[in-house]
Amino acid sequence: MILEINDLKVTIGPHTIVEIEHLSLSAGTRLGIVGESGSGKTMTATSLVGLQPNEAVVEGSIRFAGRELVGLSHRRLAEIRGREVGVIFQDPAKALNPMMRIGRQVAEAIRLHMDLSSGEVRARVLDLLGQVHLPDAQALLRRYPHQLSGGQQQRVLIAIAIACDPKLLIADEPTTALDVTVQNGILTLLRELSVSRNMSLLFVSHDLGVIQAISELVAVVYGGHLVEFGPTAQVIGHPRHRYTQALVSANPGIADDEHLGDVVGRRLDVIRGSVPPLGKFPSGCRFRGRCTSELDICAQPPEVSQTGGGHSFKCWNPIEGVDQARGAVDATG
Amino acid sequence: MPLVDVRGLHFRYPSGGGRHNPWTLEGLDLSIEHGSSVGIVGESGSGKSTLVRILCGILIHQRGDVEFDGRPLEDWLASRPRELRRRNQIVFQSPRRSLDPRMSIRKSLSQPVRAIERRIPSDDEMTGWLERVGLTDEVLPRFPHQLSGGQLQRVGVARALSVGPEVLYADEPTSALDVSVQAQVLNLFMDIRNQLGLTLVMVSHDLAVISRICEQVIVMRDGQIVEAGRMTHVLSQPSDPYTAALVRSARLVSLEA
Repeated sequence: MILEINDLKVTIGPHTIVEIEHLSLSAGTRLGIVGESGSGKTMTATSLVGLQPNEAVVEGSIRFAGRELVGLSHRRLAEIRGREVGVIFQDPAKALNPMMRIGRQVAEAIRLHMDLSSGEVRARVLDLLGQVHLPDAQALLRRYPHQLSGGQQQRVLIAIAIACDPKLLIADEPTTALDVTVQNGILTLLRELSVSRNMSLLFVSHDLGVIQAISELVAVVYGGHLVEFGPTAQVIGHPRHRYTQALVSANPGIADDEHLGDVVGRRLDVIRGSVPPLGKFPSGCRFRGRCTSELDICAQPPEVSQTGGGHSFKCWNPIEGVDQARGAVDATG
Repeated sequence: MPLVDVRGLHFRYPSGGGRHNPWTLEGLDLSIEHGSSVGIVGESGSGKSTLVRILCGILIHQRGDVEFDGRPLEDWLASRPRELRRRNQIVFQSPRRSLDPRMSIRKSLSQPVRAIERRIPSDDEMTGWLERVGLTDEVLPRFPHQLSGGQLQRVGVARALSVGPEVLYADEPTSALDVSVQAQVLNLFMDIRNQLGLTLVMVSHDLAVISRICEQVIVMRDGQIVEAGRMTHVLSQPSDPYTAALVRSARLVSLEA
C-alpha cells in the first residue's frame, strides 16, 4: 500500500470535519473522492499532505510509502510534497505565478527538490513539458501563464507536480474550470501518467461523471465520513448507501441515442435539503434528515458492511444489493 | 412566424474581443419558436453568451436582422425598450455576482418592476414571486452573502419572472452549483416552463444539462453556428465533426441517464 489511513480525524475547534476509520490505496491505483461542496472531500485530500488550513488539527495515522505523516513538521511535509506527492488544484490560473515565465516555474519545482546542474534542469523541464503533451516546449519556456489556455496551464501544473516523479498525485477538481473536450484531454493525460509511472492518483470531484471516467475506485464522502467505497463501476451502477444513490440520480446524465427524447423535460431526482454547515451535521448517520429511507436506528453510528469485491458501505438501511449471479452478468455485459 | 428571427447577424466587440473572444459573429441565422426550449452549447469563448446578450437587447449587433415578435430589435430599443425588456428576461451564471451585495433581496427583487413598470412592488407581491421559485418571504430582508448559491439562483429566477417575460434566457444558470443543487434549479426551470408556457433559451457548456431540458439545440464554435436542430437528432446523428467530438467528449464524462 502506498497510502494507508487509519482513524483519521481532522478537527477545527470543536468541530470534527473529517472522520475516516480506514482508507488505503495501492501503488498505481486511481481513486476518486466524491461528495457535494461541504462534504469534506477536499479537506480529506489536503489533510493527507499537510495542506489543510492552519487551524485544522489532524490526528490518527496516515502512512505514506511506509512512513507516518501525522506529526511530521511543516518542513518535512513540504519536502514530501513536491517530491513524493504532487498536488494540482482546480484553478490553474491561480496556481501559476503570473509574473514568472513557464520555464522558470517548472525549473523551480525541480531545483527545490533535486540537485541538478542548470543544463540538466533545462533538459528535464523540456522532457516534462513533452510528457504532458505540450507542443513546442522550447517556445513555451519563455511564455507567461496568461499567454496559455486553461488546458495548457493545467498541463504545466501537472508537469510541475510530476517533476520529481511522485508516487502519488492529489488532484482537487482539476478539470472543473475546463471545457469538456479540454477536460477529456487532461483526464486522458492523468490516466496515462498514472499507468506509465505506476503513480497513484487521488482525484477529488463533485461530479460522478468525471470520477467514472478517471478512477478505478471511488470513495463517497459525506459529513466527513466515508459512506461508501468500492470499484467505481460497481458503486455507481449499484450503489448501496442512500447518499450515493441520491448523488447518482441527481446527476443529469445523457441518455443513449434511443432514449434521448424520453428524458428531456423529465424532472431530476433531487437530494432533500442541503449540506448542513460546519458542526451542524446530525449524530449517527450524517445523512440523517436528508435521507428518504431513514430508520430510528440511523441515530446510531452505522457499522461498515462489506459486500465482496472490495465494496463497502456504512448504512443502516441500504439499497438491496444485486446477487452474485446478476453482478456477474453485469460485469461481463 | 417565429418569436425570434435572426438573419445574417454580425457582431464584433469594439475592442476586437481580446483573447477570450477573438472572433466575430458572422452571418448567423436562427429562429426561436413560441414556447420552445432551445439550448445553445459550445465551449467557452464560442460566442454563445454574446449571442444571447444580443437577442435580449443587452448588446447591439452591427449588421443583420434580428426580429423579436415581427419587429426589428432596433425598433424595439428605440421606441419601446421597456416592453422589450419586460418580454425578454435573463438569468446569469453567477447568482452572487449578478446581485448587488449591498442591496437586500427585497430591493434587488424589486428592481425590474421599478425599472420597467415604474412602480414599487408590495411585499405580498414579492412573496408570491418567491414562492413560485420555492423560497419564502424570509429571504426578503436578507443580503446575498446570507444565502446559498442555490437560493440566490432562485432569487435570480424570481426576479426575471417578476415582469412576466415571454422569453427567459439563462446563461449557464447551474454551472456554479453543486450537482444536487443543480438538479433543483434545473427542475425549477422545467416547472416554470410548464406552468407559464415560457420560451426558454439556455446557454450551457454542459451537453448533459441541455439534453435534459431542451428540445432544440444550437451548437456554436468560434462565433459560428456549426449545427442546429432537434436535440435528439443533433446528439444521436451529429452532421458536423465538431458536434460529434463534443457529444463524444460529453458522453465520456457523463453518467447514463
